[in-house]
Amino acid sequence: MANSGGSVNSTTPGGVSGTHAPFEGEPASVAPSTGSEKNVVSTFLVPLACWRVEDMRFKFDSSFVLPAIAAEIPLLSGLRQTHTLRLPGAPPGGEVMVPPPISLFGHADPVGSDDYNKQLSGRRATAIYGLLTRKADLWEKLYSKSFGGDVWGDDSLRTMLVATDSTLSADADRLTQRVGQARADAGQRQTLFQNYMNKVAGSFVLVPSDFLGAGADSKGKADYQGCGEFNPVMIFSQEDLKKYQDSKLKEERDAKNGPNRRVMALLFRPGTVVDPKKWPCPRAEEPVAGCIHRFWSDGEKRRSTHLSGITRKFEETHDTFGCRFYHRLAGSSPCEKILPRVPALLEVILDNDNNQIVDASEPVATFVRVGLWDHAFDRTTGVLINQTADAKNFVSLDSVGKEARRFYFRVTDTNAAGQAEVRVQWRTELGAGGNDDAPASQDISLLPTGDPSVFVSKAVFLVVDTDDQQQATESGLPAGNPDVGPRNNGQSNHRTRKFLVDATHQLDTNLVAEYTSVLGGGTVKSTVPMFNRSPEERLRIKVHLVSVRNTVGGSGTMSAGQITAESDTIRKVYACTGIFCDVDSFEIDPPASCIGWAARVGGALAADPSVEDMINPPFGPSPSQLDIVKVVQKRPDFGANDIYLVYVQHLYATASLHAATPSLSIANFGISFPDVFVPSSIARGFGFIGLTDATKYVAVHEMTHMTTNLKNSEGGHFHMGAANVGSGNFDFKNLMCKSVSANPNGVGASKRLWDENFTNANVNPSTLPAQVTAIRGSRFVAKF
Amino acid sequence: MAGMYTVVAGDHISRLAEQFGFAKYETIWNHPQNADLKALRKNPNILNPGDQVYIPDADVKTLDRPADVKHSFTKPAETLKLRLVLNRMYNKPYAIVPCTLSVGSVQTDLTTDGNAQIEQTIKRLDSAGSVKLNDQITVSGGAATIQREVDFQIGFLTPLTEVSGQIGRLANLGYYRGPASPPDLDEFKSAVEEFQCENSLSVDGICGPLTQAKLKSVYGC
Repeated sequence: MANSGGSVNSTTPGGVSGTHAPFEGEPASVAPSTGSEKNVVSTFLVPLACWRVEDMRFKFDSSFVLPAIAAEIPLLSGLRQTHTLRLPGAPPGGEVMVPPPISLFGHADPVGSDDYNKQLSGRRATAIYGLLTRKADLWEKLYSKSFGGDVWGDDSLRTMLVATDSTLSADADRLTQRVGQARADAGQRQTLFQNYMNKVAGSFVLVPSDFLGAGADSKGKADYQGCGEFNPVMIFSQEDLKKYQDSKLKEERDAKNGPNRRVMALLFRPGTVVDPKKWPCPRAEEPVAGCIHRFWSDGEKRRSTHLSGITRKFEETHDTFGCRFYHRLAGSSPCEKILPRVPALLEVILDNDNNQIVDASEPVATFVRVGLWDHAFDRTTGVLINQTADAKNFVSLDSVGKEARRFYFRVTDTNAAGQAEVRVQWRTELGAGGNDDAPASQDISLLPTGDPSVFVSKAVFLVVDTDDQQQATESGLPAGNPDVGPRNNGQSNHRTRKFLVDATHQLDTNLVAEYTSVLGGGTVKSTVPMFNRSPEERLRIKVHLVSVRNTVGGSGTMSAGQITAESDTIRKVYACTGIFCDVDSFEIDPPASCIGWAARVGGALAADPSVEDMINPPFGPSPSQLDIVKVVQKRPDFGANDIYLVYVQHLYATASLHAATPSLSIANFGISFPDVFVPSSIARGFGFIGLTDATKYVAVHEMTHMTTNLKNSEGGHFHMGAANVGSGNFDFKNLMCKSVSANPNGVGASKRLWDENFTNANVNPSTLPAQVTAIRGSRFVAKF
Repeated sequence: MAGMYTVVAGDHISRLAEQFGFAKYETIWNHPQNADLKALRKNPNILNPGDQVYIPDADVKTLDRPADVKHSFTKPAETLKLRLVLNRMYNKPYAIVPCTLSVGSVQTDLTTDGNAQIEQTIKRLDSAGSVKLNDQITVSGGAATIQREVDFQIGFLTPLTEVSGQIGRLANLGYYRGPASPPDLDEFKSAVEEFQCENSLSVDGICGPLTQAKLKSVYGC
């Protein structure tokens, strides 16, 4: 258990979050019984993830939490989202989110007595618990009952007042007056604590039942505790120990001891509940005896042996924690390491006000989505807009006017102030770990903003296929920059990354960015999930590819390669909607009406299996289509809310079949039966593809007729035609344009789905609702 | 054909009795040639791979019956049981909880008793199974049911005197979280000490006779 790895998710100047290596227990070896034998089998206590807040987020030697902890709160919030389990709950069909319960462990450095440090670390854990749960009464206790050097005092009141009312910083008299009022009045303090907590932790609020002991103990046993100085991650060498006996070096000593002063949160497997009465750790306010009881037999030696010439580090030797119980919980934690502290903050941010100006005020992204390319093409010429200026670049223009799909990187680094640029490396990682798209150069340049220590990148976004990935992007950087002009995949300042979606990788990718300060040393990392996981926004659609055999018992229309290619295309197009398509395929024997065309009609086109096109008007399925629908519906696994895409060789025009001299001609490459067109037909949810004639995006186009379920005078097509809009083959890039099959592959293919309403006064109805929204609201989607 | 048999993982005397055609495990266990083994292992259900078991000649029972009447002969059935106690670390055990026990191809719905115990008769050759229980939990979002599953291998528990047997028991009790083989010695020490600490033994990380005795009583064999 000690060295099993895990990985760091994100780092900030004052903290880190990490994921523990998964724990797979082996089957229990048990004895059978011919007498009184029994076997006790017990569930394990399994920590899944960790979050650490550094000493710098507290006032020195105090439990008062400084406002800058705001940078670490999103890390804890993100971990909780990632590890939340979704279970069926009441009422039937309902869902209960089961978050991973948290336990907080405060730690002190070895300077000072065991008793003092146990209390101080317990007070720090209490302060964090109070902050997360907004328990102002716990803060009031810490404030009103000072302990040794831990005196909140006027200093803390001043900090809180300024943090919650920025006008006070410029008004010394009023600030002094307000401090005096808060000092004198517990009611005012209560409000101040509450406001400050809200300011610092934002919308992230926990309740006692979110903790390991579920709040069952009024003094937080199992929910939060102090470990004192018993579990140092680093122990001075003998030489350092001697050197720091010089009181003049106190500051240096304290700085070097910094990594030992920390508050750790461990997140346990969802559903784990502990009975505080059985929990080994003493309460935060209790003395050290309970801790020492859980020591290793050689715990004293472990925590206090100083070696000559060697600084002992837990991450290297795994033997510096005195407490065995804590070692068992956190010994394999990726957060119990001395990470080089980089005084820089790296954030993934969104242009929430959609003004294409990102700066220090833009919000941090807790998740990202996939680029829609909705303003990527010139409306007159259809050419990709790919120039330097934000207003003329397809990445910067993505999702303008809607919730931003494009995102940016922001670095705050005072050491870099005055630099012309800093660089961030970004890539995608598979949900299960390991790189997804990690090109040769992952660099993107960040240029200074109005604040010289705050740098932001140009917009970037994510794509799903290699055509989009290989598209050169204009760097957007000004003349004189070495990366000015178009940049290719694999070069620095290329502005897209691809992520993999296939049967195994079901929209579980993460975006990863790293920044190494110009000072060198450490790297800060930010991991952001793709799509919102809490609440879960990912959805599923079940899609069945129906391969009709050419004769009864013969071979199916589709080759294995075609099945793979079609599944892949469908999954990729729908990834931008946040929907994973569960695609499978099966073969059916052809109904009599779908074969024998050569004998019935003759002609060069005669190929089995084929169907007549729909009866048009009134837009109903043809007899041979109905025959296929009936065969499929007899299947035991038939799903009324699944999509069925039926692959035949051709869809023949009914008109030519009913002519005086019947002949065969191709009517369509694909057709489909959305509810809105055939409200009472059994063919609802069925699409038919003429495999010989169809191009890459035809099947997913037909599927989308059903999932968007939109109707207008253009048959639900997005493309309005040059005659209607007057200008523009712009609409050809949309999956639902009328002539999907005529368009090429590549970035200009008709494969885009957009999330904005399309209005055209020349058709009825004049507004087509946003496609992504329509699809996500359709009857075909199911929970993820 | 009588002879010595070398025990492999998963063997127990009842299993060998079935394999070699004995109605009762005692025929093997109580055989004078196995007296040393019996003294060493004490329990016919907990052997160590490599142990030598003497397998006597197969049962031949002679019964006199009149030749002109129909007779039925019943092979005496030996009852082999599996007894599990479903525990939860740092919390109350799973008492009075419905669960499903699967052994071989047989699934049985059971409810744990007040001591969180289930007991089921099994076949002598059964070697693996699982128990699933529905853990009712309440979180801030509402009530939910989490399914807990424990997979087990029958007859694989080795004697307490062996490190593997100590690890097996400590793992089942939730203390040892490393691989069964090769053992993680740091984790083993941690598990032994944790067990000693929670059972008021002197904490030294060595699984000596006192710790073994306590382990036997806490674990149940």
